[in-house]
Amino acid sequence: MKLPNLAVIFIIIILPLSVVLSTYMQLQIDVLNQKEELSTRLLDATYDGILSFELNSLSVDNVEGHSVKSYVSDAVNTFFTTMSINMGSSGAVNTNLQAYVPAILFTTYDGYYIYSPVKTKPVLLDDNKGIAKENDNDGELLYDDGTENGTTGITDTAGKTTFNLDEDLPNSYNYMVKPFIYYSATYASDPDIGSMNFTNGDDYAIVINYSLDNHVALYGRYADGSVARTISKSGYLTYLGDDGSPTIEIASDSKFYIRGILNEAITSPDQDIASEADLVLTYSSLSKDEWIDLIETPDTNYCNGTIKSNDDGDYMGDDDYPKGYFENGGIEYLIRGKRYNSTNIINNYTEMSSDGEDHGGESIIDYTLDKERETGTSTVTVKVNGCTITDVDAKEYYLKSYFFSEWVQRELADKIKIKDIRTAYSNGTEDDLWMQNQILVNNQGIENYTTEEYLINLKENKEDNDPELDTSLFAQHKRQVIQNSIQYNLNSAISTYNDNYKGSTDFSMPAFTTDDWDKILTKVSMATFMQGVPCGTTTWGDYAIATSTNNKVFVNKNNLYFLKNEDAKSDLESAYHYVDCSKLHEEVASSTGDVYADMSFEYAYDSNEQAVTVYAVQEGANFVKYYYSEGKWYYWNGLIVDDEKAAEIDANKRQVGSVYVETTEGNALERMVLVNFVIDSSNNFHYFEYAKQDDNGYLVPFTENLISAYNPYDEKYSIEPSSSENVLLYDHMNVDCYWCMMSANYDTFDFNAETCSITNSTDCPTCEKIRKAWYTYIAKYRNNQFNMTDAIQR
Amino acid sequence: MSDSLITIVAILVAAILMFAFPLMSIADRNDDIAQTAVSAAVSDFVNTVRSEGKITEDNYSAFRSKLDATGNAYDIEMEVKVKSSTIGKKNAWLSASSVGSSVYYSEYTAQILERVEGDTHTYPLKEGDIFSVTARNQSSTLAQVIKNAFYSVTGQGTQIVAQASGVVQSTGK
Repeated sequence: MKLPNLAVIFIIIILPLSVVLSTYMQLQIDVLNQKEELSTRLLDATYDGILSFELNSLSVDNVEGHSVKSYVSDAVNTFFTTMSINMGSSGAVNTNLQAYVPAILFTTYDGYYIYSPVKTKPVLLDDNKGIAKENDNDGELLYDDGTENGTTGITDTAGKTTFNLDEDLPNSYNYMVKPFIYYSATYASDPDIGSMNFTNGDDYAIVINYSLDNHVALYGRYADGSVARTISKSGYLTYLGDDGSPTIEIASDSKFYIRGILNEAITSPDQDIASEADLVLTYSSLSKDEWIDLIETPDTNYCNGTIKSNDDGDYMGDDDYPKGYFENGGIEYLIRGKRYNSTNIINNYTEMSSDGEDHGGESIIDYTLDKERETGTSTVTVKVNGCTITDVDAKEYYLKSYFFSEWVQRELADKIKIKDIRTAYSNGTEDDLWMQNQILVNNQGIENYTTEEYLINLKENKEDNDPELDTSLFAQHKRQVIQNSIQYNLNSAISTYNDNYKGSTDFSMPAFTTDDWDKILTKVSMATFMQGVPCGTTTWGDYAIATSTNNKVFVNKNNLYFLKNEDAKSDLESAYHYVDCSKLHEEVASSTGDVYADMSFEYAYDSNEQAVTVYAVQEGANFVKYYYSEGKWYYWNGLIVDDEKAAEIDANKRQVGSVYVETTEGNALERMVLVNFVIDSSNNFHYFEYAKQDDNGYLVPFTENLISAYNPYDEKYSIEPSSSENVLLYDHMNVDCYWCMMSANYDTFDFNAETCSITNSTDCPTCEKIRKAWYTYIAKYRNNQFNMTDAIQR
Repeated sequence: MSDSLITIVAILVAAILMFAFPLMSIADRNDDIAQTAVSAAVSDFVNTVRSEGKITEDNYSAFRSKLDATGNAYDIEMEVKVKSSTIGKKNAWLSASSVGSSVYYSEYTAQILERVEGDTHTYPLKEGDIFSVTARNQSSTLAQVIKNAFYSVTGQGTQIVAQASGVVQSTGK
């Protein structure tokens, strides 16, 4: 055969191959691109979900009935809607999508939710009729008393129908947000918690609920010497420092107001003795331990004195002496089973009881600070790292945190060891070992971690033990606990779904990277998973994590926006800064007054578009543009003006209009419209020139020559007397700092450092002011949150 | 005489058909694969940056090595549009109706890399910024070389281009 023939045969073989191959390749490329596209859409939809949560969370307040869970449900719905639309189907129906989503994780401040399909019985509860069950034939819900279909239905005494649900009804999937799971771990000295009686030495079994910051809640029992105590308390753990340099210092002449019961001599059983009066206790009059007892020690089981009886040998509170029994008269106060006179404790552990409220505990702090709020006079001086805190809310945070931390340090710090971590229902089984291994193995990096390390030590070695530092043992352990809990529950949710899913997809939990965990463990976040989505020749699966930076449920550094002082709120020239921005240092250095801060959401979601009327106000030789809407004045840039300025504007305002003018530009005739113009006293035009940069709202004089014989005031040129614009209006005056908040690439300085990196002085008054503001505002907002945490439902 | 001429022509034709054509075809496929890999890498990199809110040296070099694995050298252009939500003040010149809305200023590859390869190893971004990356091949691929030889295309032309962009979703600092 000749060479050309060979070549032709070769081509006949190669050409189809090549065509097929290139088609196949193109298909693969298309599939890959489609996958990338889907991943991007998943990320976007997740972000939409978290935005929905942010907006909803702004209405979370100290009001009963708000439920974080409903906001999470809304976020999940938003996610599905956006994802459906992104994938080209209607947002109204997301059932198509649901089958591909094995779980959604939503982490909040002190715990997390998992959204996943759950198998439930298809029943309907009705208060009047009872429980309806699904008819096997057509899926219809029927109230069935059992007469038709055998004996499964039972009519109860109230005439309602009930069913034995276990036997009769088929399971079906319901997609729902499962109950809240706290970031919690159980610690017990003995693996077999059930067998402990908490009466000897180091016995304890305590559940710790962690949060994204240093707030913890403690529940459980422990042995205080030979006495078993039950606790249920929560608070912020602060590093206390050694006694020489304490973090939080309460001045010894501080005065606490305590509502006490007056101790009067009782002479007859009918005498009413429960009259109340304020006891003013100076801080120095009790020892620290006594204060901790007074504020932190639970009432129950604590009084270990002898129980006094009345003459008949009966205990107090019996029928004869319902209000208690008092041996001596005189003005004394009964607080938590102790008697006080006006200066100090005069009798420890007497068993006086009364019908009055419990006036001990944190209510002492609340009561004292409420007095300060009412009268404006401060009786308690609190210093944090040397800064005197003046804000009452911040004081409340530090006082409560101080006593709580001191109490934890005294009672539990030498008990709770990290290696004592147990599963929730522990009886010393393999689960325990698994749990310990998970936590311990993950922490190999920490020296001596697997030995007898104590979890909490608030007195020494700040670097290793400050719960607020990410590097501390406590924080690292906390993160392991949270990570472990999420991993376990999410994995089980996804694999349960997989076990029951009747399709070809193998659902499994993806392994998060360190960066992913970092996002989940430090912020409110939403993680979505999609698997098994058909995509060309194959299927696509991915996960996306979105975090929230503007919400009302968690405060961190990026949520606080600082101003040089409170007056700067109405000063357009001062900007919002992050606390460690060196530009803030500059501004504060040249200003007076305390540094002020807002929370980011107050600023971020503060704008609305409105149609406004435009006015001009003469300021010197210039005219400046102002907006008027619904009784309020705004600067030309949409920021609200303060009352004083508003009155001034009101007095000098002039309406603006628009007009045709005809000018000579060289020899050519030019017609133009002047928008928002005013005419000054010498009949010159001033108008707002939009093309001019940095004009600060000034109307510029119109300088071009009008053509001769042209009169703009002539009616035929139709001067319109007023003009309106659609603009965005804001309640806040201040702008973002160009360096820190806008670009995120900014020069930071450490306001806590001994030597200020900006002024190079060891005692920088500016740093001092910023430090004080930081301690004040982080505490103030955390305290609000603390009060809110109890009120919201999960 | 004419026979041998035909033979020579035939050999030439055969050589082109048997070697050059398959080579071109394979080189083309190779480019397709590279294109796929580069698109995936770019899109992946952008998505990572968007969700993390920062460009880190780690991520950047991982992205680079993914590109390098295709055997070509690439020009990477990055752009960060930094969002200025500063109200009105700096953007009033745009138009009457844009007062109060956001404007962006841009930082480009050199400025970004200065940070990424600098002391902090990180270029932090904030929520609302826009990040975009374009990668195009710098060295010519085999397919380009062959095509240039055959079609006498002047200039290199760009064969592999991938572009991705998106809004940053979290503040990375």
